[in-house]
Amino acid sequence: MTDSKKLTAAEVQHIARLARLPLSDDEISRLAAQLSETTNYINVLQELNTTDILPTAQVNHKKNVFRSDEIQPSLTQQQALSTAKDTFDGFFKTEATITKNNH
Amino acid sequence: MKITPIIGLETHVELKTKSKMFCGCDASHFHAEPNTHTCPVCLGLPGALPVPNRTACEWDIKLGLALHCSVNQSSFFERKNYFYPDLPKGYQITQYQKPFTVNGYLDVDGERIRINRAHMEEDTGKSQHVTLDLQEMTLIDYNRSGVPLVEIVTEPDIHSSAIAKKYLLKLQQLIRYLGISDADIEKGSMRCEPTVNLQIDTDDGRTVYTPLAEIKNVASLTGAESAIEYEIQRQLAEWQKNYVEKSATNKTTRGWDAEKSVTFLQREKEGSADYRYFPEPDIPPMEFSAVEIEAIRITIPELPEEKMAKYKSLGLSDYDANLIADDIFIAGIFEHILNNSSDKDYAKFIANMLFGPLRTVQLDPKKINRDSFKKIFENRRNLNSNSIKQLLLDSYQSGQDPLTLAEEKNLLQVSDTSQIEKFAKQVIEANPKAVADYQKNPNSIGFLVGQLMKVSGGAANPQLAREVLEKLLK
Repeated sequence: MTDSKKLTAAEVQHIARLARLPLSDDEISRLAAQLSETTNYINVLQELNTTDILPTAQVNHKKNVFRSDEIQPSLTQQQALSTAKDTFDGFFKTEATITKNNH
Repeated sequence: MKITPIIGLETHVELKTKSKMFCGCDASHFHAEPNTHTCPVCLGLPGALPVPNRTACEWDIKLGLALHCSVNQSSFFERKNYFYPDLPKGYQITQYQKPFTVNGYLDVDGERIRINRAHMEEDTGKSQHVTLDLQEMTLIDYNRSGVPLVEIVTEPDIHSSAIAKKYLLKLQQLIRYLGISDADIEKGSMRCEPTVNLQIDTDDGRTVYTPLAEIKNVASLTGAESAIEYEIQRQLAEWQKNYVEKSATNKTTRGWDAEKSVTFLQREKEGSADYRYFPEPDIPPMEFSAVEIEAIRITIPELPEEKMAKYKSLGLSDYDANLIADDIFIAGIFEHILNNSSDKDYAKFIANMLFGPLRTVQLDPKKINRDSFKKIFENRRNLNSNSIKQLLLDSYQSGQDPLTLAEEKNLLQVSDTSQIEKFAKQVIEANPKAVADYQKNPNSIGFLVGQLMKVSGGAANPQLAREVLEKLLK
């Protein structure tokens, strides 16, 4: 069995930031325990000897699936925007990603 | 203290394929209505299946080969995970462990800039940051989402902003020669992100490095040069203030503000582990055989450097050779007219015409008639320089035979020596005083040449007229 490791609060916060999740201190300590359990479980896989095994990213044994460079019809603007939470003048609209305060 | 800037460049180039990288949407997005070239694949809707565009993959390999890279015959796409609104899937499909091409170089001003990789990926949507009703917000157009993008990464082999600019110009020229992209920096089809830091050799014999900064939003060649220059000075000032050295975790991303000519801190850079790359499960791996790679290699046209050498061997000056080779369009016209001739005078004549009289017109390759050039060239001794220009332009514009035009306009000069001798004798007889003057002062021959031109009705070749007069008066 590999050594079990416990994620630190800082690590959990970092992972949460990558996933754009705002977490309370309470949630962080709860999730630190849960995530550690998950990663430790996955670590069991590390015990397998994979020396002679090629990496497997695909299980369907296909290769070279391409398309030729031809234009196919697109959605209309209305269709494209139909599931958006918010739109403006033909654009998808979101909260500002860069604000002037960044300057 | 000795300061050496260390600069690496990541350059993104949008390929000008008809369709996008992983779907059949129209890949042209400049000036299109927002969100009209999208589908479930490039909007990142659930259940959509990306299928790579074969032409785009081949063009990436073509560029890699032109950069002297080796090709990974087996390669695959990967997912680069990060959240940003212009990336609707939450990941970008790119290449990481097995890019199509690796380990090449581009020589710039005698310096070898090593190329780490030229890999295939997809572009993101385009964000626009606006303020509406006092609220800041971001508007997104996904027309650009999924447009084929090649990323060319150099090793940190560049040591000045001037060489960085020259590298970009040379890369741009190469890409345009290959015909795979417009590589227009102002329009955003070529974008570059310099990563800069400094090597500082201190007076007490230590070598230290300042923290890396990657610069975003560079939208012009001059911008690239200024941004690098600014960053060099900023890092030097920063180091002199706080002596912070490069570490594994202190790389930052800075934006270039072209209006204020400053870089500003955008965000702490994610480490590559944060992107959680993994092989794209929706796209099977790809294999290009040696034969297929050779078939791509032979589509690479003769490149600028080879053309330069060829033109110089035709006796053209460095300047002219460079001017022609610089633009594949001009080079094509030049070679079409030259028609494999090795006549150095003819090559020089064509160059002079292209950058002289024809400079003023919009050149249309279909209207260029190489026979007209040849005829004018062969009769150049019977034409004065103004007539040559006029005939060239007139025959180009009207499509008429230049010699017919020359006869119609009476532009052909008399270059028949016996005819000119007759004129000369007439002039000498009629102007004894001028002849006497000439005997005393040979510089005064101009008057006699003028008289001869007058007698011939302007048709004599002035150079020949002078030679004949000098011979007769010796």
